[in-house]
Amino acid sequence: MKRAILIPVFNEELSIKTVLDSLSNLKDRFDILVVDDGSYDHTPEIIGSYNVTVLRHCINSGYGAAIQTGLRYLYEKGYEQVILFDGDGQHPAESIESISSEQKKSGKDIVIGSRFLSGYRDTGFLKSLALRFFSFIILLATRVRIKDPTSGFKCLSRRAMKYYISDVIPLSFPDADAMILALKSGLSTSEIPVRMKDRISGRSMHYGLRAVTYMMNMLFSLLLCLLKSDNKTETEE
Amino acid sequence: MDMPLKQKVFAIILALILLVIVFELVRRRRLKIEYSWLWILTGLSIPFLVWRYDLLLFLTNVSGAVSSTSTLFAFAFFFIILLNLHFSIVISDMQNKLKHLIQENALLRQNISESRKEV
Repeated sequence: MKRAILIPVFNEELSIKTVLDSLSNLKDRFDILVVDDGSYDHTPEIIGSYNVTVLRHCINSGYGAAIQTGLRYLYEKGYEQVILFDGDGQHPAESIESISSEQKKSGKDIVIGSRFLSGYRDTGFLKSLALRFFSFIILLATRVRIKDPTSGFKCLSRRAMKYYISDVIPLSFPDADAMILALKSGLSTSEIPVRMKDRISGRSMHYGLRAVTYMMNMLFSLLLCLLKSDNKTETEE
Repeated sequence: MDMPLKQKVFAIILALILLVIVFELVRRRRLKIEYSWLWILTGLSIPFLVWRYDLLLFLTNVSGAVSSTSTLFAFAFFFIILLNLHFSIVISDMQNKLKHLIQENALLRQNISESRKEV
């Protein structure tokens, strides 16, 4: 089974070395693909010194576009499973094998690494409220309960990869809205408990005013997703 | 009730200037035809309202505006909103196309690099 770990990065010079080092003992089982989303710090030099495949966006295009570029490459190369792994050091390398085996064993299209199934409670009030709201909307739209709808640590099947590279999903903020569309498209999902780490450096994509605009965009996107009718043909191989 | 002659001349001159600029920009390929139609419509609507001033008065009456000038301003404001919406659509489309180009560029560069390694 061809498996890969996909890491989208943007200006992660302080964390990417630790992240790539933590994956070194998985190299015999997983290919590693780093998508550099137009970093202008020392990230390109650091990832260039590792024996990993690198795709580079000439202009910063956003997290969703970086994921999509990587998935397009891996899909064309015939990979059957891909782990989405962040470059900021939050995702635990020791959970990669378990999320991969869970996907293989359960046959689910998207397996999510959930911090809340492992008892994580250290979320701010507003963020916690937003996550609960997203979970509720997903439950309302699809009758599927997802505890951690914004987790970026996911394992995708080939069918899910095909879904992500189609232009169906909203790429600017592929979180709860993308999950609703995925489930409406006939993809299946499950969650496994994962103990996330603290970010090595930098800050979340959604900080300050960005958090407000993210919420507004997400609410609008969710409304559109709720209005969209089910389409199970989009993910057929 | 008719429009004063001075106002008529002034409005027509303004409309002509706008139309000449738009046509010239299209002719010099600095403005694409598909993005020029809203401007041409603006240029043509001014002489139309001069010609059918009664229509402007009717619209003023229907909308409850105090004077024909405020009706004109209201329409101009609505028109600017439409133009902005049009530009937002164009920008969104451009952004989508740019994303595709960036992705294709990244994938092609990797393909070239892999081909070189094979050679």
